[in-house]
Amino acid sequence: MSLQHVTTISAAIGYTAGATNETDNQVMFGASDATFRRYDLSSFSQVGTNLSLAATSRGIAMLSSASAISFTSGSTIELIELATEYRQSYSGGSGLSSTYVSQTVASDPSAKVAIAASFNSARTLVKFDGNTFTASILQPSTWPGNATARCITLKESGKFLVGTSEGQIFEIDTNGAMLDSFSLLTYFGNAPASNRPSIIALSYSYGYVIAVDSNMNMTWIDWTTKTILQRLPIDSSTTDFTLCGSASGVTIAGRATAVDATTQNPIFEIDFSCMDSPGQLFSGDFGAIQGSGINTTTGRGWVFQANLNKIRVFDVVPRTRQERTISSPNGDSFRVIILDETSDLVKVLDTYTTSPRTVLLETGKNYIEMIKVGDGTNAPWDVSRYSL
Amino acid sequence: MFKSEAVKDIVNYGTLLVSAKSDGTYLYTASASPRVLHKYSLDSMTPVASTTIFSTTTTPTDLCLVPGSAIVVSSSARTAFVDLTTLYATEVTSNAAATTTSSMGNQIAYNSTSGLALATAAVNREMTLINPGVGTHSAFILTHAEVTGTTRASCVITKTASTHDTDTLSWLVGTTNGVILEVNSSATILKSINLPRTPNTGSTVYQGILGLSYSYPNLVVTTDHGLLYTYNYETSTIINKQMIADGVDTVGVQTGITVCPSATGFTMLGPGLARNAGGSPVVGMYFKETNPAFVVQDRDSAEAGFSTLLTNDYAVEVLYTSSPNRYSMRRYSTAGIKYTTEETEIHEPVGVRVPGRIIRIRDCGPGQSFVESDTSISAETTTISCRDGGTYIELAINDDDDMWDIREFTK
Repeated sequence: MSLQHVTTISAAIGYTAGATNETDNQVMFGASDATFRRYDLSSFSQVGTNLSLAATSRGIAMLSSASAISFTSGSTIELIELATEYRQSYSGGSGLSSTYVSQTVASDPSAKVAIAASFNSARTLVKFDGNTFTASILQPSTWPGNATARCITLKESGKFLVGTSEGQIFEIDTNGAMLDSFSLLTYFGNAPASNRPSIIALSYSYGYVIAVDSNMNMTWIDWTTKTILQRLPIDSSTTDFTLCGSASGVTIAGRATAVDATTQNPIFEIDFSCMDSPGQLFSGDFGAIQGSGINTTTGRGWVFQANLNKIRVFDVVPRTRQERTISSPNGDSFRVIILDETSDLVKVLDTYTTSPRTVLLETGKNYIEMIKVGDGTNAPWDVSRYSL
Repeated sequence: MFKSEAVKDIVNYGTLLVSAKSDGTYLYTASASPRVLHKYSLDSMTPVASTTIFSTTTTPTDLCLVPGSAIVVSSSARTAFVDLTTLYATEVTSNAAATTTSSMGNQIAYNSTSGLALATAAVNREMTLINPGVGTHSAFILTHAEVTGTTRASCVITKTASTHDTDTLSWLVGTTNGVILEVNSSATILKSINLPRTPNTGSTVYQGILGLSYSYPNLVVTTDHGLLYTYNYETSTIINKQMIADGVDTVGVQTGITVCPSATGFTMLGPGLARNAGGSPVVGMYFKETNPAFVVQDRDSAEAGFSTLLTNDYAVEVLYTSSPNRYSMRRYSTAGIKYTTEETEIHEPVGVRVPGRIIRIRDCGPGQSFVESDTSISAETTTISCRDGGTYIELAINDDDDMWDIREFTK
């Protein structure tokens, strides 16, 4: 797990939103001068023009393989046809944050749907349907209290995960219907107001969710059973933290505020498909890390460093992985522990999950797999030893 | 899983020192305003006595216990020596130096073999060697190719013997430019490790070291870049790397993760100063194994900023809140920390002992288990170490025919 290479693109303009165009292997971002810009992740050169937008973009996503969608802090939504740079404005949005916030928009290009988290209105999401070219406000009545959507990410086709200002994570469908939910544990202390930290960043892979809250704690959750597997403090400031959608279980993490002029801001690679330890990808300069992304096909990643106005492009070390589906004998939920016994015996997975569960394991390794169904010391275990 | 077993709020005791130490009976900590060393009963967590330690304004930055007394270092060139029986305090300034930092602990460490204490110093490439027997200071020059310019020692701990955690043979020093130095009382560099400085694309990027914790053969290092490394110190190799809170806030104050001394390969992590109103988890870490494990306490702290200490009897966390001059101590049980032993054997068929392999997985809950031992045994009853109070999943494998069995036990 290490950096393959780093290339710097001097964007020379402030970043307000961004996303990966996997089809064309490009990073596209909204700039502070209300333009839309694209860079090729292979040649590192700009693609197209500095396309003027009707308003500064506060959230960008791919609506389909050929078009992008830009949301603003007002009601304007803009559709951009990438090949021709034809731009069409639509109304019907509901203001995103007027200052930079990551993960404000997520999309399902296969369904041609994008959903934005309306930062300023309680229980409000904005959906743009690329099939009918209409925008609509989703206000799920099942959301408790006055929770405000704070960040959103694609879980899988047709399903999104939304983090709220009240510490909840909601799984919704493309119409905003709640499919599943989870609240982070509250704190047992003297500050009730802080007992409900905002969820400010999310990433999902193979049944796991990583959530970063406004108390700057990163929590690993097995989404199938809502089991908290790990929680660590990951930032010293109270400001934003970025994650991106995962690629083969890997996400890119970074602090959205540069700490100071002498301490550089690392970029982290987190492989949470198997609860692997984060790796430091890059440490240099001291730019705040805002947007980030990975091309899930090529493994090429990028981050945008604010105050430097640079895009860092890198490759994640290719992993040779293989899916393994694990089932309990009776279909009940179960605990699984997988050890890598190729050399020193090391745990690579430990979770409580539903059956069946598909996990990613590195090939070329020898494993011991232990499954326990039920609770208590008398519950039965099953053990397998295999090589992948 | 380590558990909080007692909480004590202590109100209006002024600004609390970020570090505290215990002799197993009493807890000693110090405050800056008033400039007082506090003595608490570790059992009842109630105040026993206190004494004024400095005659002028200064901030105590750390303390260490030596036989019969405590040494308190500070943010200015003055050190207090306190008799722990009478609490008579003596202040010494001659050849003293301010410590490098005031918020991260790990600023002074006592070496029982030499009878000397070593403290960081806010002086480039220097530390302060303190002789508690005669109450004197002397400059301790760090002579190493990587320790140049404005490099300073940022933290110091004692390095214990390989067989157990009580003999202190040397010191481990972390520097502001990411160098770990093992030194003896003659200022001889016995070994050094440079933290990773790459990848980077510009000028060399150093990571300042904020905290160290050692238990043979492993060493935990926290940095101001927000990385936590676990080294196999014997081989100088990184065996684990973790993202964790970074070290400097927007106004340049050290707020990174401090780490407390090891108790048989267990330590606790926490922010050196307040980060935000929401607090952070109390994180325990077992790092003696090849697969270090992080164990999150069953409670999150709503207070912010804490320092910790561990003894073999107690783990105590001292939490600090700035308003209204209030701080809390939390005492943790030692369940699952101390080592003990548990016999095991492999039968096949029942009643017939056979050789095989015993894998003990310490079970701290889903996601937080780790391999504690992997032992080949003969066809005999075999004693294998484990931790007192720990819960285990024990996998026995008869390698001849790949038969297996599992038992779970709590020691």
